[in-house]
Amino acid sequence: MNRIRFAPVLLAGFVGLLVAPRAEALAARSLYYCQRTVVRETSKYLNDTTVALDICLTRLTRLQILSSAPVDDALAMCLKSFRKLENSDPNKTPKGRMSGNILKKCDPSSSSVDHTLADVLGPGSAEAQPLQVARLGSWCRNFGGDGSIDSVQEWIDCLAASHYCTAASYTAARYPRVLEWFSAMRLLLEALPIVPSDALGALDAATAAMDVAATEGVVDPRCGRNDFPATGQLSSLVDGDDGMLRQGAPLDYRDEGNGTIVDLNTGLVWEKKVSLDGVANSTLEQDGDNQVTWLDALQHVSVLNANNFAGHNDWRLPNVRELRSIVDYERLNPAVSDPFHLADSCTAACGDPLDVGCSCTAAGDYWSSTSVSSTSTNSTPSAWYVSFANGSWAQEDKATQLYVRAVRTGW
Amino acid sequence: MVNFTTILRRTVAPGLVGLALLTALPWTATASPQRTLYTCQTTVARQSKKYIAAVAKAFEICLLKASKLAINSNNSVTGAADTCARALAGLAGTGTTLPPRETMTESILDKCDPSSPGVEHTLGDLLGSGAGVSQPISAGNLARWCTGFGGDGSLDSAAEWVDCITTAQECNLWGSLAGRYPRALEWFEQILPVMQNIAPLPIDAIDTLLEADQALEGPGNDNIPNLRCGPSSLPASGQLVSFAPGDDGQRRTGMPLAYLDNHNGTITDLNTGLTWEKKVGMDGMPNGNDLHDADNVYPWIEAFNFVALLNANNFAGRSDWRVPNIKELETLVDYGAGIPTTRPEFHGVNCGPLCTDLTDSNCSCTSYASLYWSSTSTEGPKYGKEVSFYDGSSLGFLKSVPFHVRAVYGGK
Repeated sequence: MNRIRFAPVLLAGFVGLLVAPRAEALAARSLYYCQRTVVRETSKYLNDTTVALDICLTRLTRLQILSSAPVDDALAMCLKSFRKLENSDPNKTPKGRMSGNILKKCDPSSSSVDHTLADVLGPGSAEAQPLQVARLGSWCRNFGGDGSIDSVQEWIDCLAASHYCTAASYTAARYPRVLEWFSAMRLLLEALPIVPSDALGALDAATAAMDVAATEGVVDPRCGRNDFPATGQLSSLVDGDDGMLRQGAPLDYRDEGNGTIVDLNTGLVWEKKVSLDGVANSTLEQDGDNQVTWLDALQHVSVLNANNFAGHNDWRLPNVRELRSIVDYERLNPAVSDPFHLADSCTAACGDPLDVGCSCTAAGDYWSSTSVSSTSTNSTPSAWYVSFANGSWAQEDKATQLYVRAVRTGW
Repeated sequence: MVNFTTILRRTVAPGLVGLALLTALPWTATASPQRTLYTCQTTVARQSKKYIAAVAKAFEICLLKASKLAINSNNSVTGAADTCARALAGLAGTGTTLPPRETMTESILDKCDPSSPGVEHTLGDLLGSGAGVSQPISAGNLARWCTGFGGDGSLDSAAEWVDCITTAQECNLWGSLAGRYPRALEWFEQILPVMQNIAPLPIDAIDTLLEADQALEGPGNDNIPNLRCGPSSLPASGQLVSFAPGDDGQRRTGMPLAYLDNHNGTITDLNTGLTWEKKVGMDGMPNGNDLHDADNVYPWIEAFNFVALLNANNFAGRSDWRVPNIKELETLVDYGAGIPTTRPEFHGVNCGPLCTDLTDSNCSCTSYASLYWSSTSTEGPKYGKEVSFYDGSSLGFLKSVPFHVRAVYGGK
């Protein structure tokens, strides 16, 4: 009896021993295939896109630069090229092919996949070596993402947009007249008896990617985030006001734990202030109470550089535009976002700039490096300050003692 | 007969040849620069592509090996150090072959630089300014964009173009790696110390890996990619005069102010991508019949009715005009200018009562008799943020006070 009862249990245990490591190995291999497919497919996508634009542009170069001929004779070739990029059947485009092939090898719902979504994303994975795609969440916001990567499709969307920008950037660098030629080509496409909407869409997409400021003739692809920061205002008082439209990139900062706070929109790295207790302390450069004259504000950054503060010696006084970029107009006294002033923890005990748990901003006026150029409005040498009480800015005599916060360029 | 043909040969033929030469000479004079320009453009396209393909391949060999070790075999990626060192060292050239970057640079300069033998085009033909040919390459178009890749704001030589192409392509390649290999930074940091123990030390490979590592990381230090390729959109303050070492006028951080009059009543900021409404007809007298009259003033709440009117009229073909927020509005202040503190695009030499032509780039006005409203509120619902173009300051005012309004659309 005992034997008979035990046998299935033993058998199950035996099978379990066999299957468990196998499943793990399968998941690892399947994850690796996913990683490898992403590399191969995105390479192909980048190449297909670049080559399609290149074929049209090679022809345009020949006509325009070699022969001073109009762009007309490039029509057929460009039409063909653009149709390779856009098609009413999305599966026939380079992007569609890439998307399909990556889904096949990466998406857990695909029959040939043995890993889980967590194994791809990272958090909650049973694998020792997940792909960690969730790490791309913040970066992919540069390319239309919502700030987190929660599915294979979101990764693909980010890959498609970032690689498209790369293709646009390569093209812009190589052909300085690309926008002028595309604009002439667009007129030809539009004049065709049957307007090729696919090709026109492809041309418009390329133009938009290379001409961010919408100024025909001047390329400026920016493969990165929307770095012009919003004001931070979130409450709206009337339709169409700042709190409703919220133009610009949402304010986004991170305390680095080394005495600095990075602005993830502008790439500017800011000196953190602590120990805001109403008592200045000249021996602690990061003391939030310290107030100095304009010339001594420049001296403050020299000290930071001499000390190689946070591992860098390129600290400087921010100009008035940089200083204003960190004002949060939803807040008052001080008008800054959390990482610059943690109201609950900014107490006398908050004295260590390396402690991410505490950060202070005095609700007062801070020096910028920008002087008042016009002497007609001011008889004494003056410079611009920004008030972090309310986000105002005005001129002040350089001999006045104000607060100071140093900055360096992070990228 | 014979004599006749001899005479013909002696008199007419040289004339014909001369005529042919006369017509041919100007033709060759214009055709040659065109031909060498064409060779330059095709060389740039081919060589830059080849170069970045070589870099991409080297990193792919390194990172695929790392992912195979880590993900497929659950091993440490340090085993990839040798592979990476070899692959990346190839970028520094091996034995008799030049590094791919130098091959590209030399080939392009050889075909593009006017001082190279055989090149018949001028620097103007290459850059676009002062070109002698009707179809220059216009590499000068890239000047502003190239500031995002270490450029100095102008593009004055073939070498500067090559520098920009190199840096721009590399940056975008790092971006591709970031998207493809979410764990690239983690792996780089494990591989680097092992590479530093290889003898002989693969210095070039280490430098290349460090370069990619720092580019991918961006301003943070957390193995999360944060790289960005292209110019920043935060404009400079405009201050060009220095008052002390290390001040704004000396460092001039941010993108040089640059605007473009679109000749349709709008002006585009090439840094922020914002397009601004132009104001005209400044004579101290508001004119309710002209929405663009520089003297018109509105209480804060009516600013929104004003942009609604622009949208209803589809001004400049747009229906997305809005009141700028305070951070947008302040970008129009040029701290290097006098009064008003803005650029000539916003206050041109023709500004005055007679300046009503929106298409004239010299006819553009900024009033400093009053302030300009932003869409941002401050210190409770009663106060709004404004900017003074008299001195470039901003304090906050009661919303019932009538100020000017300059509409905006666009931005990323």
